[in-house]
Amino acid sequence: MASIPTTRRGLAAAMRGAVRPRPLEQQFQAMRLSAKSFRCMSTESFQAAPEIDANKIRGLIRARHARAVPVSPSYFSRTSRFNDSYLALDKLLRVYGNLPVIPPSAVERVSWKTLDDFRHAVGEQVRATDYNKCLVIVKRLHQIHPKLKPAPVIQALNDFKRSVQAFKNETVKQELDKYGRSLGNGRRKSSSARAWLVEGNGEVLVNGKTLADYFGRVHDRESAIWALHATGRMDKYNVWARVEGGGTTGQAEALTLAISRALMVHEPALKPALRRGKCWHGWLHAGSGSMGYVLTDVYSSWVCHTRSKKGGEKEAWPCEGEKETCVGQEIERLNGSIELTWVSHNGPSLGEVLPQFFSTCKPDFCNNETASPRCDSRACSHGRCHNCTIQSRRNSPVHEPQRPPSQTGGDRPNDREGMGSGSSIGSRPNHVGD
Amino acid sequence: MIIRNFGLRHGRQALSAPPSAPSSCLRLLSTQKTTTTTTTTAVAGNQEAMEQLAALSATHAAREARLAAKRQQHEIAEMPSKFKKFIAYQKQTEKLGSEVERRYLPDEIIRNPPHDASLEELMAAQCHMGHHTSSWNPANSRYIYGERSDIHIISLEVIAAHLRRAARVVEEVAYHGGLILLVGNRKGQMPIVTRMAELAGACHLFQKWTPGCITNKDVLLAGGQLKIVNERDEELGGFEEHLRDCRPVTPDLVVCLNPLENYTLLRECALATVPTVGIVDTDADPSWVTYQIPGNDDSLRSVALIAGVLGRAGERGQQRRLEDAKQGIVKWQTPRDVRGYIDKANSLAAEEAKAEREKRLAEGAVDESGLKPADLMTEDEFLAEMFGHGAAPSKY
Repeated sequence: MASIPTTRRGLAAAMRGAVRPRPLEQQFQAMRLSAKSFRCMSTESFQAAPEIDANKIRGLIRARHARAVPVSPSYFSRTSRFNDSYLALDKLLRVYGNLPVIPPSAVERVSWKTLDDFRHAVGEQVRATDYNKCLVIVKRLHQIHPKLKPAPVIQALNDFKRSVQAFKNETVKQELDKYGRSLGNGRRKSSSARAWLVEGNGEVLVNGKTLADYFGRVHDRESAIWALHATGRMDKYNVWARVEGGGTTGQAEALTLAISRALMVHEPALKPALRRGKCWHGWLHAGSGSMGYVLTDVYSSWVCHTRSKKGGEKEAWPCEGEKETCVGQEIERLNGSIELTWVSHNGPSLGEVLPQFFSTCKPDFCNNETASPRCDSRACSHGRCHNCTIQSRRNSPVHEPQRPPSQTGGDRPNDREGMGSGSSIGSRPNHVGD
Repeated sequence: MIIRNFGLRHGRQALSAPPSAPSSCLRLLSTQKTTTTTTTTAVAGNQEAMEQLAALSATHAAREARLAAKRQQHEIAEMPSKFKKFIAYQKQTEKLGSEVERRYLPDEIIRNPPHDASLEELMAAQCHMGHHTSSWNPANSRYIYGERSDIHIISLEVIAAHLRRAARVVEEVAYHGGLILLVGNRKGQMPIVTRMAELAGACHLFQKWTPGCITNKDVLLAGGQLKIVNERDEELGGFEEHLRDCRPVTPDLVVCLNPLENYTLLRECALATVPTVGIVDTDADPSWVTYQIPGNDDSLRSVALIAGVLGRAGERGQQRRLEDAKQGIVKWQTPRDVRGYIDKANSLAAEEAKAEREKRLAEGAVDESGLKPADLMTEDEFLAEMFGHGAAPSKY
């Protein structure tokens, strides 16, 4: 040995080295330990590191006993998530079933998840009868007085509410601006239209052009201002509209909706009339049955099915008379009468009626005196005859060239364009036509 | 009720003021004439009178609707305070009147089932009533005591003996960590089945058994969620991979409250050698189940009593199992697939750790795992250790 250690430390170090040679880092670590002992003397308090958890060592499983068990007791029913929530609701009803309930008419309206929504949410093929049973409990719990409804109930009911609550939607109240204009939007196919309506004398500008300049086809011109037409307001408002996208038909029919919405701001009481004139939501839906005005190319996506068919029909037929609605009623009535003559053949046959209609439609206005018995005075009281317009829209019987004349009752124009250019143009007011 | 609600719903619409049309002279000045509605049948004067009448009745209806709505709002606003008063009053008057010592509460047997059923209880619950003698299954003749009013009477002693045997089976299966499935899918059996499953820590089924949930479990139960628990029923982590890949589980014991409607289930159990317990009425085939409990399976009361005794047995078994687990006694073995996964995971982890350590050593890191107690001793301690206490050379 080169040098004999003369201190305790030196001896210990020599002995340690003799036991096992240590790397330099470990010797430093030992020094650090002794340095720490000084810090222990201080009053500084701290939290020591937690104990080593052997189970947390990555990948190492220390369990001596382990077995697989189902998470839910409804494991074997295959609709375990649904069953769990059903049982939870059942329990809630047993616990909170005695709380006072409010009458159904006063309960906040909620749109609950449909069966499909729920199936999608839980990912199980829940049976319809089971889900209906569940909804009965849900609705009963929902009836509990809102101030007494316990938190667990509210939480459980949230699972059955749709993410979008349609009943909470508030309609934006449209108002006239300071210049007396109203704005309406409409969409159809890929077209969108915005129409500003102001009281005036019946001028229409679509993208800076007159109606006749903008729409080459008569049918489109009619469609565009059908809302004004159906309510007899054609010469009481001026329209200024911007239309974008799509083709002419789409643009014209987007305008129908836009103008009718703008008109609703001016005269909200016209809604039933507009509905009967098939200009409002669901008008197509109402028109797809026995009524006239059947559009030839209609996408189902356009129709907003906001009501059931039953409700929709009921809604479309309130005939309590406000004076503004009478025009729509007239059109409706007239439609009905024509329908009757065609279907039942009670009155004069179509062959007799149609020539009369067309004969009444002079190139300008038709007067009341020359109106036919079917096209009576009230129908023509606006200064022009609507009959031909109605005829042109009634395309199913009129525009079917295949139908033999014996069935529909005689000769009639079977060329749509010819009829449009002949008689329909004449029925348009001056500013609309050329 | 309906009429009142109609009034409330539609009264609101009637109440809302008619939209005020903008006062417009322009519109009136237009060239178009506004039409008026006149019916051909009614005379003009007559119609005016009718309109006035209609307007009057409309205002009257609106007022009525408004009042009804107000009344209802008031009632609803008062509900919470009234309910509080009611509860307080109920509490005050609870103790008044005579006390009925024993009452029959139909729910009581479900909420608090007995641990064992006496013959009286079995008889009170109508467990002894069999079916019409014409619809009997002769295999049940050993359980039948006699017949009365053309129905078979099941022997109560036999019922009690078989019920105790079945309860023992359920208890021991629960004690040995088996998975029990309680099936009762007749109308009204849902509360019984769910409550007893809750007591016995078992699975329940109160809907139709999907055929194949045992024999075709890999397909039908593929979406069912499982968890891995230890002997104390604590969930264990680190088995995610295994839970993803493992097969669905099969029950170790099936208790069927209505064997007649569960032929498929019992047959599947027989194929998979899963023992079954069932209530066997006089018209059922006792060979469908392993452990028969003769009894009336048509009365909910009888079924609730029998299922209650079994549920309590399961509860006892689970309690015993958990208590023994605390003492370190475990009567069940880890299933082979779980054991295999554990071994594989551990060997993989060891290999990984070894490789990592070697990698770190190669990089010149501290070999902390090689530390010995001597490395952490102070010099004095170390020398004392080396030379014995007090034997350290004193000259230093």
